[in-house]
Amino acid sequence: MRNFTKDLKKNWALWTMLIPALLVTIVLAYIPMVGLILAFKNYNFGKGVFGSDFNGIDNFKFLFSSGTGWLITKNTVLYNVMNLITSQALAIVIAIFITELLHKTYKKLTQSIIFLPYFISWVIVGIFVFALFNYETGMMNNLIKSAGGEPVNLYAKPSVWPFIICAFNAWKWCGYNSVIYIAAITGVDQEIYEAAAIDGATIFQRIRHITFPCIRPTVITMLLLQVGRILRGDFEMFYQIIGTNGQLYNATDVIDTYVFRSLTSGATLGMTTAASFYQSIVCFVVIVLVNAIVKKIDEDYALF
Amino acid sequence: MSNIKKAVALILAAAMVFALAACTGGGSTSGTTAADGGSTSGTTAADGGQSETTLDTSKEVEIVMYFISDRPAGQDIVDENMNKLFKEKLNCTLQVNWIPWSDYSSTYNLKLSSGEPIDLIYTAGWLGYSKLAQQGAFMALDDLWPKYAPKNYAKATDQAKQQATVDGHIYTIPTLWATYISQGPIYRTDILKGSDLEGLEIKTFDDIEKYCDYCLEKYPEILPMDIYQNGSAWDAMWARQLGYQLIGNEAGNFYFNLDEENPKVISIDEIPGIEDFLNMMKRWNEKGYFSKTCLSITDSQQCQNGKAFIRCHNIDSYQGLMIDAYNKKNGWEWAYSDFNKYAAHLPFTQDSVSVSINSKNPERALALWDLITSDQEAYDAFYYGIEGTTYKLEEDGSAVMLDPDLYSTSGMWTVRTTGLTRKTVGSPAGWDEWHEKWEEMIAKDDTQEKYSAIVIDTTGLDTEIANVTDVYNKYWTPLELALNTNGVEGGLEEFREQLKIAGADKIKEAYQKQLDEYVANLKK
Repeated sequence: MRNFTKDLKKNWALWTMLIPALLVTIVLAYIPMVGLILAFKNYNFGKGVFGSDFNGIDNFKFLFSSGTGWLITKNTVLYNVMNLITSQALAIVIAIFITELLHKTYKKLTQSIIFLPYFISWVIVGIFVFALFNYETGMMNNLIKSAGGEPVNLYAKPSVWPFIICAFNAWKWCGYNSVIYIAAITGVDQEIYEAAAIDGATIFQRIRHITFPCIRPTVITMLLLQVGRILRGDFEMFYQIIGTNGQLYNATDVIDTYVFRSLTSGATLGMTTAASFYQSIVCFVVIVLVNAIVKKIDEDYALF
Repeated sequence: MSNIKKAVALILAAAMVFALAACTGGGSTSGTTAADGGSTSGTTAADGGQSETTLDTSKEVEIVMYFISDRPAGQDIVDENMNKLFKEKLNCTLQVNWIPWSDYSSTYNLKLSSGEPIDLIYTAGWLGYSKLAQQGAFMALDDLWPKYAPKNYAKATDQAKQQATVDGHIYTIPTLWATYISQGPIYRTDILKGSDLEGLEIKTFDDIEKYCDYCLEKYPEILPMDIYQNGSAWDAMWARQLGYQLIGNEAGNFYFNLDEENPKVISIDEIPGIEDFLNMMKRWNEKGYFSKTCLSITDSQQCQNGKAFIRCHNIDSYQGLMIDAYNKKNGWEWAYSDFNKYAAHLPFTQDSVSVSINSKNPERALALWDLITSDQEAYDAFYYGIEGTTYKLEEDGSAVMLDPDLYSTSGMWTVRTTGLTRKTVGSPAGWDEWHEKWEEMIAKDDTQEKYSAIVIDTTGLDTEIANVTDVYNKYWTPLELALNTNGVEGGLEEFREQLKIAGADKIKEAYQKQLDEYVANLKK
């Protein structure tokens, strides 16, 4: 304690600078957490969040009594793992390609075009998806029909949707993510490349033995940051692409969409809070686990 | 290093204390407001006992009202006009806030739980009125309603009052406008001119099929049936024409047979003949009456937009389509037919107005509602807007909306009051006859009407209802439209299995008990 007061006196300027960030965190991240108490309550509008009666863990039953809880947890994790791998791997490949390009205008142009989807909102993407795949007038079926084939109803094939969603996710994010990798690659000392070139290393050898090791810290940090949101399914993406199409729920339901749908179709606030609470707990466990694994492999890369 | 650790620990501790303080702070405020609300209503009730005219209008107040619909472009001038009148009569102004159709499902409950001092708010069975009332969202109006809205109270029927009662208290003011169970096919007839089907009256499902076949033949580029992401309403219509009635309006899609003396609560898959119905839907799907991706279509106005010819909806939608065609002068004609085996009123809580628990001026709000629903001048200002600008009166007293883009009455159904609502020019000619016919049928045969006062208590069933609703979304909706992958038999089996897992039996049992009690009471 005394040490702390001493430190406070000595570095008061630094501590003062910390205050705004601290306040923002408290107001935006810690105070709202109090609302989680609803997960254990039977919410009553008149009595409010704190006045409502406790009802133990009844609210959590809703999630697991019908088996939906496991299904959406599984979906959430699998989707995120898949999205994480594809979007990051693609971003790295794009970053390497772009840095290896020599023609300056072409390079800028390519990068801009790849970056563009990031600015398109999911609402619009949802309309794209429908326009592409709907049975009667969709572009895909029109192409198939004009080539003499039988139209395909993708909406009746839930199993392909994970891939469609994954593809759109990668398409939307890889440009954005690649910027970070491009920055990391540009930061690598050019002399190393020159030396390697003089020693006769081919372009692949240079990528394999110089670029990859140099951007490894960036890759790991990016992965860790993404793992942090692994249970936070990108709600907007799922909601806009799937909407309220019940046919596809089993293949595409993640915790967020389930919570939202339940809230709007009859579940109580307590039940949906319970689902969110569950999501947060699993998320916390995953982060701690992944961090522990990273720490075991190489302590320097761990987040905490 | 250890210094920093301690510092961090201290900061975290401080954050927690702060959070706790904030939490207790919040708790105490909400506690006091609730107490305040209780005391005010207590005193006013006492005041009311002393004399009839105790409403104190010396202080000007603003009444906040929430309504679900899209805000008309010309609402500002309508507001200004009606507030002049309200100010003069009750020294108050009304601020109407609109919750658009696109997000009512996500915002309606939030508005109530936000603690905002809402005075009047639209509510209805399909919005979960009785559940919200049980959860304490609305103020009990047992004393306030007769005291501050006496004219409205006098007009409301006992049946309506009974339907508005939840756990022994009245939490809402039901509509004064009789509505009927009227789901049936609404279809374009101008396209039939000159064909074999001219003058076709759709009376059976076969007629529907004939009609759609004709549409497909004549207009192959248009899918005849209006079905979008909410699923189809044909199943409910099919059940009703067999004499099955939904029970527990808001929750779970359970039916009972009106013709049975001691009806049994069943889920839709237990209605005899369900396989035939599903096979028919499958045939309709294969013939291409509706899109095979209809559950991803967001356009809920396909008929109105000329993208479909037939839909299943209530008589109000039929009137809406007729008025729309009249205003657009596009030459479209619509017809409607009623498939229901028995006639009955819809619950009067179908459209109703409640006072939020957080209301600051419930007395004035009720007085204002009384004025609007009893005084023609106030009603016109609220419902039709400004004479000469938004509407004009014909000689027989019916109203013509002058500019539907500026202002139309489409959003304010709750206020509709028998005796005050004018005939709208463009309404279908048979409109009044339908209503008369239903009244006559109800007077003659109360098979269905006698059940209209049943209010189902869903306490303790929250988990099961949420699960069953989800099963319906996931399995029934695609199955009904033959969009599932495993056929009619397989789909039914899967649906039944999932219903069981979701706890449908528990709901059925609870509903059955309440239905039995109700039937026993009827027999007394």
